[in-house]
Amino acid sequence: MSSPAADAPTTNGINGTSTPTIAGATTPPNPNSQTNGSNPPDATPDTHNAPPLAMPTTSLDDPGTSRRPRDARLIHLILANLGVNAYQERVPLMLLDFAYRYTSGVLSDAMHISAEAAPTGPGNPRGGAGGVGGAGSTEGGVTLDAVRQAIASRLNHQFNATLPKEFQLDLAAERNRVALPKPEKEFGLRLPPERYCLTGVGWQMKEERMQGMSLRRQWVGRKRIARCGMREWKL
Amino acid sequence: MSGPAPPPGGPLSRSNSLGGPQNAGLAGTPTIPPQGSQGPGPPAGPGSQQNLNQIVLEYLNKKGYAKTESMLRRESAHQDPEGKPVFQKLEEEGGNKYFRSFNLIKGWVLDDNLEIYKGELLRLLWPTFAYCLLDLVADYYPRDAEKFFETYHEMFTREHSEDLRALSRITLPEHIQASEIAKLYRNNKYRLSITMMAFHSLLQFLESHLEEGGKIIMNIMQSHMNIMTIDRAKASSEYSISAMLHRGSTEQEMPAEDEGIPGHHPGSANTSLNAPEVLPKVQLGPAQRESDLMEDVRADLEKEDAKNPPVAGRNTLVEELEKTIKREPDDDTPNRDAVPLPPSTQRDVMMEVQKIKENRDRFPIPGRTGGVGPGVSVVMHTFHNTFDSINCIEFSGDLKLVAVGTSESYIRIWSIDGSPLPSAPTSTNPNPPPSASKRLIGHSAPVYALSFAPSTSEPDPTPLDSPANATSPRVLLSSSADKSIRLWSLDTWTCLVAYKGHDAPIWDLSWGPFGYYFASASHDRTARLWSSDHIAPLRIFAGHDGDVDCLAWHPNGSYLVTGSNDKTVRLWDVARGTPVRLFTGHTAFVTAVAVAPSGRLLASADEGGAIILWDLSSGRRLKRLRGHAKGGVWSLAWSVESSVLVSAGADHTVRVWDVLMQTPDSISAQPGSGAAGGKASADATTAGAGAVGKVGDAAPGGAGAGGQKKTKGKDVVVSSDQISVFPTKKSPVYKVEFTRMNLVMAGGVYLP
Repeated sequence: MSSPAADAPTTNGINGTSTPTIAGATTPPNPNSQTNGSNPPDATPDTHNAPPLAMPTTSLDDPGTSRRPRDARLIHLILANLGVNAYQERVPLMLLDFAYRYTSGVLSDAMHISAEAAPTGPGNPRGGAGGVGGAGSTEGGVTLDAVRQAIASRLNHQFNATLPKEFQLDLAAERNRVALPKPEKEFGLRLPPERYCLTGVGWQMKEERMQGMSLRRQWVGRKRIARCGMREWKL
Repeated sequence: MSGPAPPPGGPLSRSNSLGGPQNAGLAGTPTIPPQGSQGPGPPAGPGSQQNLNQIVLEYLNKKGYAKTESMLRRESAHQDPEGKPVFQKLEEEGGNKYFRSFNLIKGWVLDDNLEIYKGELLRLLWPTFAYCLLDLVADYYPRDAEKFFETYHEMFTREHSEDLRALSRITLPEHIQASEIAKLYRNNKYRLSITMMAFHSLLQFLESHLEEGGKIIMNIMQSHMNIMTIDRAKASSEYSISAMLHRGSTEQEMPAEDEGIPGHHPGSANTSLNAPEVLPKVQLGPAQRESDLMEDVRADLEKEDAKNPPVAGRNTLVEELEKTIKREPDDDTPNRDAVPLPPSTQRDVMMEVQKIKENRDRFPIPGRTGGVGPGVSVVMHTFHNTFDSINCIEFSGDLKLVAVGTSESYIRIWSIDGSPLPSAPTSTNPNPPPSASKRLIGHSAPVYALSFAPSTSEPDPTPLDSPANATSPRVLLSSSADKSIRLWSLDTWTCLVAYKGHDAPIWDLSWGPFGYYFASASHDRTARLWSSDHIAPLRIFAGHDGDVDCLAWHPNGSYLVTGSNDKTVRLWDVARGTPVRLFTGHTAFVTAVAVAPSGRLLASADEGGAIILWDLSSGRRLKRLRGHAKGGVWSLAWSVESSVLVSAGADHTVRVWDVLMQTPDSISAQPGSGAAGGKASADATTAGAGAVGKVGDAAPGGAGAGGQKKTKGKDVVVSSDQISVFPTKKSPVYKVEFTRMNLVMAGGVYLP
């Protein structure tokens, strides 16, 4: 609870009036009622604020007349639009925190991209201008293309788990061209070559054993270790 | 508000360009542009549009600017007195044209149409809706797209809820580029079969209403849909008048087999537009075993017969063997060299002998007789205090072990009868205490599937000559979200090999019917074939458009069936790695597949609770079994005779189905195309025909009605071919399995 509250001021940086109130809100877990308290003109009956809270407050406790930061109201509207009517009061904070982290991440990526990686050639005057300006960390440094690129790179590494179908089909065709190998006669379980198996002897390093060992034994042990280099180790 | 007001519902980007010429036309006049007063609320009266125009015209007339005046007259002819543009053509209406068009066709299909065509024309609405929506988005009408979705999506929620969820988020052209489903729809043509007469009446209607929206619909049909017209006289009985009349009365429609985005001939895996109608042949006969193996098995059986002669009325074991290897027509048996197996060992011989013995001594389930289903016994194993951490349950083939895979990344194995499991002495503990369960630790993410190596129970006087010949499973495979498959030894309870190759969590895994090969299905949209002595996959089965969720081997080991998130089921040729059949018709994610021991039939189940039976050789749908509630059917199993199907799932029930009986849901598929149709499909149809008369008897009083009562008022219709249902107490059933002696094993987890 404390971390979203601590992050909230930066999130709501636009909303100048509410920022200090929330920053002060550290003890009770209800930023909403805290906002109430700091805005006496339209103070609502704060009956729900008085007793110590056994359960986290939910949005149902809010009569809707309280003044909240703009972003919190936006989150409320978005949730209501998606059919979420009741939620705990810390949900908007968490979402705001996420949104802030996401946008700031994308924007800082975009700044780096436009400063360093954007094409500065004559074909892309906007990007070029941004690239030059971005180095000086002016506000015009982020170009639209850079933002797009930042979002796309994030998408690729966060969500796009599967390879394109055409590539998979090519890969499959290549693999499937080889006829199935004919298995030879063999005894016991059929396992891959030994170096791919996890059947190697588990080596145990014991201080006292090492100390008691003669030099020769140590040497032998090291040689065997080298031989089993590929195997999984159990220490 | 200096610019002209955008036309109602007009595109955001176009508001300027629409207003452009009007401004340009008046550029020379020194007066205020007439559109300037089009504010949010100018009072009608002296300042209104028409008056202004009038004043300006008078002014121009007075001054003698004849050219400018005529120009203004011409320009303002397209505006109504309020200053809004007057549309003369449908194309000019912006996003609204899609509303009008869709309304037009929806009204016609639902109301002003012959009742008999309604069923098949209803199928037209979904693709029309989807493509209207995508066109709206692509043409950059975000508001209209949202409104369009809101207005019309209700009618499709039952069948296309997944697609709708994906489409609801698409409002900008960029979303189309990012969304899988939008790309799928826009890059492919939606195939739909409509009978000739219905299609003609549709065309006639659209032509007569070209300007009211018919043009748009025609465009969509032309560019995005592949409509197959069917001549009813030549088509199968699915399109006969009687079938259509019958279907008209049933509310629950289902998509035709060839309908959908990977549009294809029913059953064919070739989705190109000019694919041949003839399906590739599949060889579904039993596998041809090694002659050495069969000779050894015969010798052993003869010995066994001499030692324990069968009780009166029973076949000798040799006779039983003769029955099972009754020669099939040669072209129906797959070539043994295509999917080579290792030379047989003593263990294989012992397992074959045991299988023959169990097959003779099994509890026989005859086909349905006289409306009374066979009584099937279910042994239910319930796990308590699991805290919902169990992902999968698996029984070993010798029914000695049960294993579960947990979301806490370990595997736990119990002996079913509670006897202590053998444990090898380790260096730290030379004398481990006896224990009835073991934990296998090694995976680093939830374990999703397990598979014991094929096994049979030990022959009666156990010839313990060598542990290598024991017919117990000896190894276990597991697959996990950590992208690896692990092979575990059940002698030492350690991990032997980790097979890596998949790119994503692995959902399902299964040993082939003869061991050695195994297959895995993964989130990376491929299924892969492995053999136990190669660490890389031998085959990659790619082609699904979604996760491959489940798989099953064909009993002859030459084919593999996969079910996927893209609502299709595919049959793959293992030797070549190519798809040979594609079954569409599910309306939700496919969650379980199973091939009948006869090798001719396939059952697949989806998340919505529907089970569909397919004929493998002809590639046609046989019937749909309904009764499971929503939430998924997680396991399917066939009886030895392939006449009874058992299913279990999230609705806390195990259900037993009669496969042979024909219900109104069933579609009498045409006998298999060509010789591949073969024996069993003919069996199925004749047996089905025999059962037709009984439908009436069975439905009102039979077991099906009894099942309906037990669903406790959930609005699920139970089809009449359900033999019985076994409800559990708050225990979703994860696994059902028929033993080789026709006993049903079920495994579930008590989740209060």
